[in-house]
Amino acid sequence: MAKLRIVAACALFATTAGCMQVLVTARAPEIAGEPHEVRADSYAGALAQRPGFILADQCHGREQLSRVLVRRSFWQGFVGWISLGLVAPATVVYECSNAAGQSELGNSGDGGGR
Amino acid sequence: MAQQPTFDPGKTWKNFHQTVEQLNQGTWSLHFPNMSPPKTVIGDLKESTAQIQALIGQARLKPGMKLRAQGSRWSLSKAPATSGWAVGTNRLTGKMKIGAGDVHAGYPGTADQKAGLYLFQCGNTVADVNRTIEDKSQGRSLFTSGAANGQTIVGATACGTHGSALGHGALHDHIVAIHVVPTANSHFWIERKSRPVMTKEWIDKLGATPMRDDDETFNAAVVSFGSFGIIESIVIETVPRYQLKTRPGTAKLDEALWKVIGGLDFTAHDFFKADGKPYFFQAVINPSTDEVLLMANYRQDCPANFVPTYSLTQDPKAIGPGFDALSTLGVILDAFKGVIPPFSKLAAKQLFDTSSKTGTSGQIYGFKPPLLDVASGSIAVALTDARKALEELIKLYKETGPVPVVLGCRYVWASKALLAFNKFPIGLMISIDGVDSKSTRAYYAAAADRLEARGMDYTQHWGKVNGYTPTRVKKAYGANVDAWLKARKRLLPAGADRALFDNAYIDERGLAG
Repeated sequence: MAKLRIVAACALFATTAGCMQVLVTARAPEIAGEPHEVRADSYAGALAQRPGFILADQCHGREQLSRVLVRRSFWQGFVGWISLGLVAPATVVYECSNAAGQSELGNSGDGGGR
Repeated sequence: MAQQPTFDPGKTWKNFHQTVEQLNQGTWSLHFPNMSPPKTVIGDLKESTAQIQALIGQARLKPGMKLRAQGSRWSLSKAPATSGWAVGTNRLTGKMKIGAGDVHAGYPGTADQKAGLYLFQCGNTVADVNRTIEDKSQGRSLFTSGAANGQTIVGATACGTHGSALGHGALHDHIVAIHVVPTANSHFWIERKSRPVMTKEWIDKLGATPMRDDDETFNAAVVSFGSFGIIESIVIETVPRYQLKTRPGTAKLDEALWKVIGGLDFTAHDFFKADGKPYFFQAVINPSTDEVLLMANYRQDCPANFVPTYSLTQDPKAIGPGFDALSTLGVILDAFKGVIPPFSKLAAKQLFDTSSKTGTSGQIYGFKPPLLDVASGSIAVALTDARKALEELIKLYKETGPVPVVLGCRYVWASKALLAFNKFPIGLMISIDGVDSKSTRAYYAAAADRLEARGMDYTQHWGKVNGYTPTRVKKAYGANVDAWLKARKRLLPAGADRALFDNAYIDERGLAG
């Protein structure tokens, strides 16, 4: 019984190997707007993916990417483990950047507009 | 035509550090109008104002709708959260140098202060402000700054962010004018009567109604956590550009160090013998040991040709906590309290930069690796009560058992803002920082209870975890609370307009309605 418990605990612990996260960030992150969360599924060892790539379509105008986080929760890792890698879900969170195209310092005397 | 606000129907609002959640009805994002690129012009401010007014008007048409501006979602309290529409302002990054010709003839500032006035739209982060004014073409600096730079300047100041620059106030004490949009058909330019800044002609060009017939309205609006409408922009005073040379160290919490921490007597401890009183001082007490991390930053002139760079740095081989590591750690530390003391020692060094460097204020208090699930709550007491308060909190820590927090000690001089966290002539801000966990949250609640039980006068940081109740707010600020409410009614005379900017946070603190 004790051995069975140890095996069960080890098996459960092994599922945490499925949890992972990687944060990619700009050197000077200037975040524009909200974080945008996209679910990404990979099939059969990434032979196929949905979506094929993630278009940062919530970034407006000249906005680039500021940060991208790829994370796999315990349950997403569990699905990958139980399906022997046939289905591997993950969550991608991206944030847009204000850094490019910010307005330059003006002078209070400058008019323009409405 | 300027880009109009865009709507994200997502209904779960989270703060940046993901410690606070609120269901709302979606988020509107405002975009910088760029009326006359590449520079900011008054037309940009007017267009942003018009768009904010249109959003307020649209919200007012929906019965029961609420509205609140949010900047970087940096706050650790629910101050910016709303059950209605959140209005994302972090793309409004217009900025202007105030020309001498636009400064009011009665401006009482020095010639240097007059030459260092800047307007920033609400979405500029503290990093944006630093990058703008510390450029060698401008040669200016903020006199104080919080430890981080990701907050928007209006979000940080509206919640009372401070630093620890000795002899100086908090971040909001840089502000001398506020442009606020409270309703669909009004917007005000608020200044202190005793410190007029902009000419009537300039305010007329903006189309705002000047409001500077007293000091009280400004002193109320400057720390109002989004409750007076949407602050479109602010004008700040700055100081000549300087550099800070940091001097980190560790010391035992002995009588000599208590004289420094509890009385700012820098002659009492050997650590300060060589350089004397610093410009910035911080002590971090780990209550599970008697070791204190010290950070003394010394001011020096900045070479005129110095070009500051701002960036995260990284040691690619180093092992550190993952972005989301603290969420798991909080659970582990709640379950295994024995590992908290060694963890706290490690965490203090992660949470507080203890490296030695020289740079502008914007470089020293610059970009930090982001971490979710950090917890922070701050309590301020008068310097005269500093030692008593700290000893009580250390005692409480020992009574309740280990908690994954450290006590950061920072010092801030008084503000004129009616609800300023820094209300004491010289205040010790005790920043209780650590991992968000059940035991940490219980400690925050117990800390305020303990100081109250000892009859101590204290305030709490509006932008961090706090246990304010209507009674506590009233006790902390007395008649200033009524003056603040009166000023709010002045800007938002109709109950329905005030209700739009009410949220649970101010309601629970007796400041709504």
